[in-house]
Amino acid sequence: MSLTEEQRRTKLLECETGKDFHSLYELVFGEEVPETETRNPNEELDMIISAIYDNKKIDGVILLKDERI
Amino acid sequence: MSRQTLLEKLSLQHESQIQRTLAELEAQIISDIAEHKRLLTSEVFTPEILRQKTAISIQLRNDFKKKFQNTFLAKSDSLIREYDQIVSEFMKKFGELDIDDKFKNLTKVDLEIIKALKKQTFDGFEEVANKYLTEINANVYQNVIAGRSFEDMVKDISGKLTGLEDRAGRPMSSHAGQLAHDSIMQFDAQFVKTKASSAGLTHFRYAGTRITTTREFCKKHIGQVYSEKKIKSIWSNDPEQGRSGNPFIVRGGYRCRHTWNPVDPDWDEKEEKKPEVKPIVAPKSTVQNIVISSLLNRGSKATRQAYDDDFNSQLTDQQKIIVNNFKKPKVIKNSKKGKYRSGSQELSAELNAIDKAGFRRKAYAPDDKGVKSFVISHEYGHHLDFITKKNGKWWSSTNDDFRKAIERDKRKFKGTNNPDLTGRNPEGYYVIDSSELQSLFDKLATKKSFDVYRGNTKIANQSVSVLKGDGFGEVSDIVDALTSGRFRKNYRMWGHNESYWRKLGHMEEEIFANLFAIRHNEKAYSLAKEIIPNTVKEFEKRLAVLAEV
Repeated sequence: MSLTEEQRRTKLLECETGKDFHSLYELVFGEEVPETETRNPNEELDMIISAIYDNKKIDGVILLKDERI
Repeated sequence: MSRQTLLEKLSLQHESQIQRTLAELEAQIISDIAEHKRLLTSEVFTPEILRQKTAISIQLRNDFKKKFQNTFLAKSDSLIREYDQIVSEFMKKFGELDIDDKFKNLTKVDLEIIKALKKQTFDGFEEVANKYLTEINANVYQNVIAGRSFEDMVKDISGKLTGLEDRAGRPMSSHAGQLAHDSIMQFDAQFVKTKASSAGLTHFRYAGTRITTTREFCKKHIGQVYSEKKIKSIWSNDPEQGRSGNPFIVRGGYRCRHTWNPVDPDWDEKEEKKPEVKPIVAPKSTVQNIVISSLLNRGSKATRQAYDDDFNSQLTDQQKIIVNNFKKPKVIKNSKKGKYRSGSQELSAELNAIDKAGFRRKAYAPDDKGVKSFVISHEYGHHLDFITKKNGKWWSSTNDDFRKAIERDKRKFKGTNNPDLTGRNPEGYYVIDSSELQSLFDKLATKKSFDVYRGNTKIANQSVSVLKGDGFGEVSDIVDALTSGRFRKNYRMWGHNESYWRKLGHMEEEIFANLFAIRHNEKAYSLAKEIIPNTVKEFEKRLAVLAEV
C-alpha cells in the first residue's frame, strides 16, 4: 500500500509509541527498520522520523557473520 | 542505613510496587471487559441492546471501583504504613543530637501528627484513583455506545493506566509513580520540620547527593546551612526554584531527592559536615593501567591518552589482570559505531560515549555531562568472550551453565511459556510480561516528550528515554536480550534490533559483553545482579577462571 505524502506525514504526527513508529515505517517501506548499528533508541527514532517524513528508506547496514555490536 | 539511603530505597520500592499494582489492575479491568466483549462491541443499536449496554456499563463502573479499592488503594495503604520506618530512622539520629532529652522521644502530639500526615498522603492517592476511575468509566461508556472494537477499548484503558505520557495525557502509572516518590519525601520533610521546630532548631542543612538529573537550583544549595528565615527568602526569590509552596515541603520541586536536616550553628559540625556523597567510583587501582592506545589506527597523543584513561576507568583490577592475560585485538578504531569483528579481531568504540541524541532533544541540562555508556569495555568483553574459547566459538553462547542461568533468570519474571518452534529450547520459548518490562523501564529510565520540527513545521512528537545512570544502557541491553528486542522497540530503550536477536548466540554474547562493561560500576552492576542473579554468578565464575590463567 503506498501512501501519499500528506497521508504519510499525517500518520507520522499520529504516532505515539515506539511500536507506532516502527509499524508506520513498515507500512511506508514494506520492510522492517533495518540494522542501524546503534544501541541508542533515541538515535534510531530520529532516523525513522526523517525516513518517513522524507520518504527515504534508512540506509541499513548488513552485519557480517562475525560482527557483534 | 542513613535516612537518605532509606528514603531512596523506599521511594524506589514504592514506585515499583505501584507500577506492578497498576499493571495488575489493568489486567483485571481488561478481563472484566472481555467477559462482555460481544455485547459491548456490538454495532447493532436496537433499544434493547442499548439498554443492555448501559446496564453493563453501570455494572462495570461498580466493578472497576471495587478493583481500584482492592488493588491500588489497598497497596497505597500498605505502603503508607511503611512510613513508620522513616520516623524510626529520623528519631534515631535526632536522639544523638545535642538537644534536650524531652525532645528525643515521640510524644502523643507527634503520633497524632504522624497519623494526620499519613491520612493526608492517602487522600492524595485516593484523589489520583478517583480521577483515573472517572476517566476510565467515561471512556468505556463512550466506547460502548459508539460500538468500538475490543482492541481499541483495551488500547484506551492501557493508555490511561500504564501507557506512555503523550498528547492524550499523563497515564496513571506516571502520576502515581511520582506521587509515591514525592509522598515519601514530603512526609519526611513535614515530620522532620515539626520535630525540629518543637526542639527550637531554626537552622537546616540542605542534604543529599547529585545525580545526572539534579536541578541547578538544588546543586547550588546542597550542603549549605541556612536559617529558616533565609530559606524562605531564597525559595521565594530565586527564579530557578520551579515549584511554589512551603520550601520545607517542596524543596527542589517534583521528584526532588533532597532533604532538610536540622542543625544548630553552635554545634561542632565537623562530624556532621558531609555536604554530599561523591558519586560511586572504583577504588584506586593497585594494578597497572592497560595501554591499548598503541593499537588505535589513528589519533593524536592526547586522544590516545584519553582513550587509555577511558578504557581503564571502565575496568576493575580483576578485569585489568584478565585483559593482560590474553592477546589484545589487532586494531582499535575510535569510531562512533561500537563494533567487534572476531575474524579480523578489529574493535571499534567511541571515546567517552554519551547519549548524544538525548542532548540534541535537550533531555539533559546544557552543563550536564550526560549518561555514559561503557562502549570500549563492552566491545572488549566481546573480544575476550571470543578469544578465550580458542576454537573459533564464543564462550558465552557455547557454555551450558551460562545459557541455563539466563533461561532461569528469564523465568523469574512473570510471563508465558510458548512452544519453541526453532527447537532450540526444549523447555519452550518464554515471553516476559509487559507489566514486568514497565517496572524494569521505571528502574532504568524516564521519558521526556518533545515535538520534532523541520524548519517551523512540527513533523512528529517523540518521547525520548533518559537513562537514570551511567551504564544503565548496558543493563537495558541485557533486558532487551531477554526479550528479543521488545524492550527496545516498545519501550524505546537501549538494545539491539529484533533481527539481531534472532541470530543464534547473540543473546548470550551480548549479555556477557554488557556484564563485562558494567562490572566496575556499582550501581549498574547491582541492578544487573537484581535482574539476572544466576547469570551474574556464572559470569563471575568465568572472570575468576580467566584471572587465574
